[in-house]
Amino acid sequence: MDNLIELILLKYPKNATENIIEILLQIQEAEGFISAQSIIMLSEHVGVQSSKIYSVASFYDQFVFEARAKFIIRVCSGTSCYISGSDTIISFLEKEFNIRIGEITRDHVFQIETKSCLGACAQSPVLEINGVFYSNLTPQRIRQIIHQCKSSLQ
Amino acid sequence: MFLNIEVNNQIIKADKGETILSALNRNGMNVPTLCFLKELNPTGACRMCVVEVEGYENLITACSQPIEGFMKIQTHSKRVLNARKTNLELLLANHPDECLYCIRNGSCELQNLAQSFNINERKFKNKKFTLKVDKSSAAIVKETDKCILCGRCIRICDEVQDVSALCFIKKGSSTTVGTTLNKPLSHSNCILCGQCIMVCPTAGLHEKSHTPQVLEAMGNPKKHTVIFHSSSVSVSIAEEFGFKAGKDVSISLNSTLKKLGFNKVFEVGVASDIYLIELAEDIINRTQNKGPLPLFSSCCPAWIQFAEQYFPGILTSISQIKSPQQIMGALIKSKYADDLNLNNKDIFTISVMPCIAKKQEAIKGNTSISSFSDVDCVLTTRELASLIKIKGFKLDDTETQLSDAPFVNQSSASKLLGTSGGLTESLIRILHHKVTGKDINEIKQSKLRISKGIKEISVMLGETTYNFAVVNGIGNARKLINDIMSGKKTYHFVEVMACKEGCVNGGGQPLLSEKDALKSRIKAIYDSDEKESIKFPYKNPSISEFYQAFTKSGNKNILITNYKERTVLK
Repeated sequence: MDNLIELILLKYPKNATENIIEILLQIQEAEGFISAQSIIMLSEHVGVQSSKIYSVASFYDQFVFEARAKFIIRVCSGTSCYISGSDTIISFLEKEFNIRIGEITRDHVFQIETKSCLGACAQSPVLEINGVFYSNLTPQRIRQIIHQCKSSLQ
Repeated sequence: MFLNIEVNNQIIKADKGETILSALNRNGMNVPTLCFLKELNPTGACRMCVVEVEGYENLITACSQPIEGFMKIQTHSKRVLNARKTNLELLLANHPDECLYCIRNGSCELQNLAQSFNINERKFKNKKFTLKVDKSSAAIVKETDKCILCGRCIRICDEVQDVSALCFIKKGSSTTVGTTLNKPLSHSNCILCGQCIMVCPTAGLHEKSHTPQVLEAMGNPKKHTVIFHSSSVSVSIAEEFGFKAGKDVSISLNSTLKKLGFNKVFEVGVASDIYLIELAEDIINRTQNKGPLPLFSSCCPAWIQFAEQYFPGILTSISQIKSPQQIMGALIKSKYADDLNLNNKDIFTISVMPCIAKKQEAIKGNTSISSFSDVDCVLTTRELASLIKIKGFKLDDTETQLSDAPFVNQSSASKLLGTSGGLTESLIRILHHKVTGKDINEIKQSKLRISKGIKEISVMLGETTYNFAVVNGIGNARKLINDIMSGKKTYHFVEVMACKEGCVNGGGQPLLSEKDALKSRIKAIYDSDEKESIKFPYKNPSISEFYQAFTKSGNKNILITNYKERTVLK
């Protein structure tokens, strides 16, 4: 992982603070999240204390600081989905994985989040897993989807 | 260039380019502030200092607006007062109504403002509080709910100390102040200097109190309680009892503490004298045996923490002599315990310091005697004042008493350790005696008595010219060390104090002190150096006995400590 970050940092001149956000984005893409180690390496590279890097990064919701799950389930909680029962979908998932929204399963495979609107109101309720959309959800269908995810791991 | 501005229908003079606030204050006019800190970058975050300026549609923050030409300002118009009051009410909306149970009750800037604005009801329903209290650090407690996001702690930690342990996290209504990755303070790069506590307007940051342990020990008849206080405390504690700043109450404090019920009351000066003599010997040894030079002082625990985190390469250049606090504790638990035939397990040592990092030093300090800590508890100046009040006393400045035996005397040089430059000044006195065998004629080193971040002095002793550097404020220390490491500067000895102006401005000193209190405290220390008869540590009759004991046993191990690298998120 350190090598990966080093390669990213090498692309940018030292002590150039204007690149911080760009580098953070690249680190997140490579690592999946912003680790403590990457903050230290970045802070040394650009010559800014780690607290200032974290301050900037934590300003943006896009950056996360903990390892993420293999499958990030984003349930739409927009108005249309809400009317079609997105809250039952959420509580179904919470029960299924025994975690709450925002949390991650112990085996780091699933994580549930909500999104304000995924823009597919006609097919509500919808959810998105790692970029793939699933619509007209029912608990049965969700069970199927989860099964698909699990079997794709093997 | 001076120009005229009109404030509240009165003409005053202002410097071109200075802020409105600075011009107002210089002319004796006040506007309330919460986030403003003199000499640091203004942020205009709290918006308490807003004023009405003719020609501007919006209210202007006086702390950040420079004066460029003629201005017509209203500082207390109806509109301004309304804005300030609403602003304050909004700040209070996010602040718990916990004043009665708060450590800053009575010394809180937010409380004072609420009072002066006659706020007697909660205008806005409060938000849900997180009840998050970070007690992980050995000396600092962070209460997230009480923070009003003024950013003073962040600025002093960054701009003055150059440590930047704290930062704003997230944005908008979920903003908090915390450390990198929001880790507990104990895992952060905080060096525990406590300057953030000194500038915090509320109890968002405060010291970890040792008062309960002290009260517990005092109530335990099996414990032999020994308390000792430092010179920086005796020139500042009177402020907590309503006296004007700069009153030296060391001998009255002895008598008050005796009345409180401590078995023995000492001043730390004896240990400072031993520290100074050992340090002088260390300098001479290193100069003769070719290094490593420069030798860095070891009495400031925040500096030690800083070096352990940022400059592990220079740890061998820091003197291994324990700080006066730890020496004092070690002496009490060894020589003193033996003399009185006491089991050192039954002795409870309490140190009173102007510093909060000393709390950490007491825990981390290498213990000299098996498993017992040299110092059991550390009280700050503030905590001691509150302890005196808890016990139903006040500081009686009419009664006086010397320190108890066997630590009766201390040199006035030992007291100088409270100021930046004082340690070096005292060292020069000893070095002069060690090298030439005579007392130094000019005891005052006026070059070291000026208020400056980095001071230098060269003194010819015998055939060698000794170069000294004195640095206060950890940000200045970082600059100086970088210069030393790059070979730009060479010295024999470097005195480092983490707080600006030294211990008199430590993180444990009285809060919300009057203007120029710092100068008065420093003056009180120099005055006592002038007045007192023992000016040289080596002439202190109280220490000869200890030196006999050291020579007899042949080891000075109880005076030695060591340092190790500390990896943190920096």
